Amino acid sequence: MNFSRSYSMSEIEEKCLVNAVDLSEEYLRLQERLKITLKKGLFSISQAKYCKGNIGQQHFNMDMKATTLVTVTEDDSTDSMYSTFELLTQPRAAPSTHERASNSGTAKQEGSNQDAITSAINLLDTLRVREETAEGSSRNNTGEKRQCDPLKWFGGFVPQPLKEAQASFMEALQLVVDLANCSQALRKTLQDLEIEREACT
Amino acid sequence: MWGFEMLTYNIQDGFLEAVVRGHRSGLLTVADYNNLCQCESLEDIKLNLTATDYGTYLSNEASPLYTTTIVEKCTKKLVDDWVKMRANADEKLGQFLDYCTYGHMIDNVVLIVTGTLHERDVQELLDKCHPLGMFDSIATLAVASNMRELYRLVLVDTPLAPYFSENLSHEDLDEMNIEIMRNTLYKAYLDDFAHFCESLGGTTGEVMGDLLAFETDRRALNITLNSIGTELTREDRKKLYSNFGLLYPHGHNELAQAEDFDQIRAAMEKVPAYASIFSKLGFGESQMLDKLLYEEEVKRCVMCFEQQFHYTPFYAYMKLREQEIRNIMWISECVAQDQKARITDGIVYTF
Repeated sequence: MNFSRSYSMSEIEEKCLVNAVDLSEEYLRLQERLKITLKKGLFSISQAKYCKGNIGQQHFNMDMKATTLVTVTEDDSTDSMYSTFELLTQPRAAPSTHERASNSGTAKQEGSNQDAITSAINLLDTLRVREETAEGSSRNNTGEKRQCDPLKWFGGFVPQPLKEAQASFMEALQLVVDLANCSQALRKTLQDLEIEREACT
Repeated sequence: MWGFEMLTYNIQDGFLEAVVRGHRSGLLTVADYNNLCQCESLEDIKLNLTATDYGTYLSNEASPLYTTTIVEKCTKKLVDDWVKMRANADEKLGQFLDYCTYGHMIDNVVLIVTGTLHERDVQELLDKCHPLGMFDSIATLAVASNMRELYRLVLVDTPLAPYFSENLSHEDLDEMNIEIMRNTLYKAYLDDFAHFCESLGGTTGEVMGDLLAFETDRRALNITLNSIGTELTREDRKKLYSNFGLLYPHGHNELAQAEDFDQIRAAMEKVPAYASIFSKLGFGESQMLDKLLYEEEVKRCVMCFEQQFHYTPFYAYMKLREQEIRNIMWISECVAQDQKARITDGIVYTF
C-alpha cells in the first residue's frame, strides 16, 4: 500500500487496519472453502472405492511428473518475501494411440453425467497458462514430459466419483494458491504499516 | 436328473453345504450395522467387530488402525473360509469354487500388468493382489510388454488361457488396452461359467443362470456408464458385452449407442427386472445406482439359500461376504472422515 504524504498517521493506521481485516476475512473464507473442498474430494475417493474396489497407491505411476506447477513472481518494489504465486498447467499429452475414428467418441459431450468431466476441464481452462521464458523454463521446457491425465492410472473406465474427486482436488489446488497470496498480502499490509510508523517517528 | 439331486447331493457335498450355511448365519445383521454406525473412531469399529465372526482377525491389530487394515483383515476371513471349503470339495464342486475365483484372477492380472506399466515394484503389487485370485506364475506377468507375450509367456498355463482369443494383439499395453483386455477376459469368463453351470443342470443351473445374467447385465451397464467420454468407440464397446443376459441382444444394441445417463436409463427400463431399480433414481441421477445394483444382488443371493442341494449358496456366500466387507469399508471411511451423516448412503443390509 502506498500512502501519499497528505495522510495523517491515524488515517494510515485506519486504512491498514481495514485492509488487514478484509484480508483476514478473505483468508478465513478461503480456508473454509478449502476444508469443504478437500472433504468432498476425499469422500468422492471413498465412493470410488465403494464402486470400483481397491483404489490406492498401487495405481500410481512411479514416473509421475507434476501436471501443475506454481510460479513465483517476485515483487521488485519491496522485499522478495512478498512474492505472489500462480498456477501453471503443464501441457497435456496427445491422445493415446488407441484413439480410433469414432462417430460418437469425439462428439459433443452432453448429458448430466458429463458435468463432472466438463467442470474439471473448465477448471483447467480458467487457470492462466503462460509461456515461460527460456531461462525460467529450462528445467521444464524439454518437450518430453507432456503429461497424461492421472485418472488414466486407475484404468480406462474410471467411475464417476473418481472424476469428481479429481475436480475437487484441482479446485483445492487453486484455493491453496489463493490462500498463499492472501497471506502474503496480509503480511505486506502489516509491514507497510510498520514502515509508515517508523517514517513518522 | 433335475429334482433328484436330493437323493445324491449329500453324499459328496452335504458337509460343505452345511459349512457354508453356517458361515452365512455369521453375516452381520441390522443390529450389528446399527452398532457400527454409532462408532466414533476406527478403534470403536474394531471393538464392535470383535464380537462378530471377524473377532479373531481384528482383535490383535495394534493402533493406529487404518481403513485398509480393517478391510484386509475382514477379507482374510473370507479367504480362509473359502480355502477350507475348496480343500474339502469334490471334483465338481471344486471346479465350481474355482470358477467363482477367476474374476479375482483377472483383476490380479490387470493389477500386475498396470503396475508394471507404471514401473511399480512387483512385490508391492503382489501384496495388493486379492488372495483368492493368486496363481503360481503371477509374478512373471511383469516381463510381458504386449498381449501376445502376456499369453505366450505366462497365461497359457493358467485357467485364464481359454479366455484369450486367437487374434491376440501386438499393440503395446496401455491403460485403455488393458481395460479392454480386462473386460474381454471377463466376458469370456462369464460365458464359460454360464455354460459350466448349465452343464451341471438342476437347481444350480437354473439359479446360477439368473445370477450370472444379472452380473453380466450389471457389467454391461457399468462399461457403458464409465466409457462415455473416453476414446472407446461404439463398436468396441459392444464387443465387451457378454453373449447372454436379459439385455442380450437388443438392450446391448441400445446401450452401445447411448451417450448419456438418460439414454442408458431408457435402454435399461425396457427390461422389467431393471425398471424397478431405475424407478428409484431421480432424473439424471446416477450416484445411487451402484448401491441399488448391490441391493438387487444381495436380494438375489439371500434367496439362493432358500433351496437346498445345489452349489449356488457358495457363490452367494462369496458375494454376500464381499458386500459385507464393502459395507464395513464404507462405515470405516465415513467414521474416519467425520461424514457420519452419509453413513447410510452405502450400507446394503443383508437381512
